Amino acid sequence: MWVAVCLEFLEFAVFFAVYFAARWNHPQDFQAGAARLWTLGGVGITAVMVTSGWLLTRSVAAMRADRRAASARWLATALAVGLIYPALKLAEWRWNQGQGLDAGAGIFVVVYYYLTINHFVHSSWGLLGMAWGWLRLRSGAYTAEDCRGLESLAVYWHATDLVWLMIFSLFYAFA
Amino acid sequence: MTRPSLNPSTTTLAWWTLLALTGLSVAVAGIGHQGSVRIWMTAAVAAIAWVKAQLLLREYLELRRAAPVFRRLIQGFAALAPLGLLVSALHELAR
Repeated sequence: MWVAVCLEFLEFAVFFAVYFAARWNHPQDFQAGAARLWTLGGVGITAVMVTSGWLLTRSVAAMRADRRAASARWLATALAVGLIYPALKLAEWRWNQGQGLDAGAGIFVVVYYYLTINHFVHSSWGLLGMAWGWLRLRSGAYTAEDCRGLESLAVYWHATDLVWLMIFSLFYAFA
Repeated sequence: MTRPSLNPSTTTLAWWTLLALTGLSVAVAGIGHQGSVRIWMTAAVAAIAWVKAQLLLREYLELRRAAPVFRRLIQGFAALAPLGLLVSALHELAR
């Protein structure tokens, strides 16, 4: 799992290189860019990511303590909270459309879409993984002695969470 | 086998801290936009991002469970954006 996480980070390191190369050459666009974004949406997505991550830690801890039912409840709640992310993203895209933030709105907006859409794709895999993990957990596939599948799912989601925290600092928290 | 545990009270504290730091970074970012003020603002946002990453790596991701080579690679990634922010801000100040 750690190999997969490192590969995901390598992929996003390339995306970050694109961000910093663009910013190096177009500093004014990036200095003015954050004020054009929906800050509340960015804060909301951050809250959703860290909250679903916390719920996943509770699910893993419960499974390790051999409390399967509690683990399933924590995981279902993590999935429910995580599903707010696509809803917020949809709302953000609509807000962007209203502000004229499309692919023709400058280099900052193009890079913003490039990174955030890629992150959205990775998070979608994580949400599907949570749904799959919940089904596996309910079917008794994990035990207190061997819950590597659930732990790997949590590691992937936390890695995606870390990427979002970086994206947040690069775009939304740079007004 | 001894398995590292995710202490609920510790992870809950980390969760609240991550939320608080997110609010703080937005507040700091709104302070100032020009000259040396911008550099300090950027440094604060970068530092907050790095602290959030460390919290997440330690309390959520259980990075201590990974082999040393993965720990170093992941720590390197966590430092990438904060360092890039600082370098970019210095470059923009010097222009």
